[in-house]
Amino acid sequence: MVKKEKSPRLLKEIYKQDNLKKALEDLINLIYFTEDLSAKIHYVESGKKGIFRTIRKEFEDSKKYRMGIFLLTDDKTSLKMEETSMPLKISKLLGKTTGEWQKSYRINLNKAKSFAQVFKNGKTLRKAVSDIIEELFPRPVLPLILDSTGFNKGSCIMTPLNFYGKKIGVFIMSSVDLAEYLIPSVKNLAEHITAALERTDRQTRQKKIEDALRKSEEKFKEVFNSSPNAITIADLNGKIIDCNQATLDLHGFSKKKELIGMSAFSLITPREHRKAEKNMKKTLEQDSIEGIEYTFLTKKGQEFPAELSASVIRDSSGNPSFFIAITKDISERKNIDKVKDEFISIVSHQLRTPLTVMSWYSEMLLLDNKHNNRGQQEKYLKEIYIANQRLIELVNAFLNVSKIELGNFDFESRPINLIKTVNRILVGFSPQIKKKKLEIEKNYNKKPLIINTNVNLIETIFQNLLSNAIKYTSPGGKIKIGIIRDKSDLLVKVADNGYGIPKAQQSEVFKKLFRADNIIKKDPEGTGLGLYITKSLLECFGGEIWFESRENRGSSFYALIPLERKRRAS
Amino acid sequence: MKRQTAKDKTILIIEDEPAVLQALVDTFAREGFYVLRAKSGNKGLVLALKKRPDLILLDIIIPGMDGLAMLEKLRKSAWGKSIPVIILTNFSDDSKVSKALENGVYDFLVKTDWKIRDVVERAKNILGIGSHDKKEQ
Repeated sequence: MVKKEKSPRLLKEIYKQDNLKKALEDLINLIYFTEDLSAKIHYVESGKKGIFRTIRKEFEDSKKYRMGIFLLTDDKTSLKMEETSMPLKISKLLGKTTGEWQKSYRINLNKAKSFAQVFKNGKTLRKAVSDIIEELFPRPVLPLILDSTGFNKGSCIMTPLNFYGKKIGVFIMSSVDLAEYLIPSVKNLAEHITAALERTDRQTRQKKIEDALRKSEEKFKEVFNSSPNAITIADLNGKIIDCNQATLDLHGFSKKKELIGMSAFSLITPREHRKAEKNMKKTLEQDSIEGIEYTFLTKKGQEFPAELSASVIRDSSGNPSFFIAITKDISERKNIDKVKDEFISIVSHQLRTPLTVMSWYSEMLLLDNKHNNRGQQEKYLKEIYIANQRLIELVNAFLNVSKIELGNFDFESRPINLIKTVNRILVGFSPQIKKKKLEIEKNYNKKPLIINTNVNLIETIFQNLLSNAIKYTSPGGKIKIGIIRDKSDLLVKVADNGYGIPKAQQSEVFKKLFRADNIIKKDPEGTGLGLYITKSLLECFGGEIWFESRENRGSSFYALIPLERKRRAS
Repeated sequence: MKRQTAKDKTILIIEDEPAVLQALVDTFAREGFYVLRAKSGNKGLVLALKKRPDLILLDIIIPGMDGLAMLEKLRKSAWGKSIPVIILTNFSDDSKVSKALENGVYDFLVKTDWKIRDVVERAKNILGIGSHDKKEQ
């Protein structure tokens, strides 16, 4: 069975394309109003029709040749003729209207045998056309057109019109003479017509494709230019063809033209050029590559870590034509990783110290029991106890840090009696206060002060500020506590006349795990977390903390606590 | 060859944690070593160059000049080039280990992982003395 071919592109369909319709009409006009056949062929080819308008009148009078184009409608089964002006023009040639022509003339088919009995009226003409289209007659038909009395009125040549190899209609030329000798020219002309139709169709479609392409290109350009990610386009050798603003910003260039034409490799440290070349090959092989870390360079040669993802863009025949790459600065992530590593390292050191003390002193107690006197045993036990206490304190502090950093802190507020809370915390410190004979000056009204706040926040502030003041003040020193409340805030002040903070280290006081040199000497057992926790927590509540300090004179810490919690904008 | 004993040996312990330092001092003293102590890198270096101990136990995280910086300076001095050093630390950071090993450290001991007795044994071993009578190589 013959595979059913796709139906020819039919007239309506062709007519949907405005350009094509216009081209067709132009063609018809051109052919119709052109006298000389060789000129017709020439002008159909070159499309110059203007000249012929001027000779139109002259031509119409000569009446020597007439020609028309019949195109199929989309009714595949009945193959109707499209009512173009052509049949009218043919009938005009014969001196009648279409109707009369159909009735009055019969066509002698001496020279096209199998057409016998067919050309009697309009219907038969259609059939003739459809036969040509169906290729019943592979050669052009040359029927004679006779009038009703049998007088030879001329001849008519029909030849199929192709559109991408499909028959879409016929080209008819008629002449008052016997026109057999014109067959090769008519065939040639028909070929030119179909070529012109196809060309126009291609142009129309090409234009559509180009329009679509231009639109998508515009869209891409917009995304490309406004993208916050650095996008670079490079040829297959790595030469930069284009890049967006984010790329310029990332590498510290001010103008595109500085980068265009440059090798993309020059944006990567020379140490990693071999790696980059390898990955470029890999990208070509597997079409894309993702998240490769490189040390990139700025215009001034500064290095920064970034991650590169690239894809190969191919042309319509599948050959790679260029690379498109997205670069993401990962300095911040790297920095976070570094801080995290440092934190883990320091934390493990901090935790291991009391563990070492506990392990070694208990070992000493167990192994060398006979050598140790009671006093020494007690001393060792005390070391174990202190180390254990320190471990508890450390673990609690670390848990607080992780709670704050993970955002798991309980932010509930409820009314508390601030004075009572502060007194309770002070009672907890009384052994140390007594031991160091410190004087505590309470600069606040002793009457109950009820405020709506978070009890953990208040306890953290007083615990840490008081504990620091007590630890870092020499025996016999003085600690002043101030509490001031206004409409919207609570201001807490804890001042001491202790060791103070060295000027050079004051900027680091609130950093995680920081401990000042002078106090490490005096007291090696601190976590370096207290003020970090206090500050982090206060900031979560929209508060602030600051201090004034002079080495060997003392420190004053201030905490401002908003009574209506304002969440810090993150 | 005369048999070496702990009594002939001086050991310098550089450690800022008082409890850890005390434990080491007590234990090494009981074994008969002559023990010197320092709580910072600077003091440790001065003491080492002045007293020329047979072995140094060195902590890394100490105030002022840290343990590794002190070690580098020690190795640059004429006397300190070959003095055995045991790093005692609670870090187990690879980069620090490799830096210490570059400077000819005998051992890199993580404190929590070692019994204090084993620290002493290790020291005796390096100095060619003690209960485990190992042949010198």
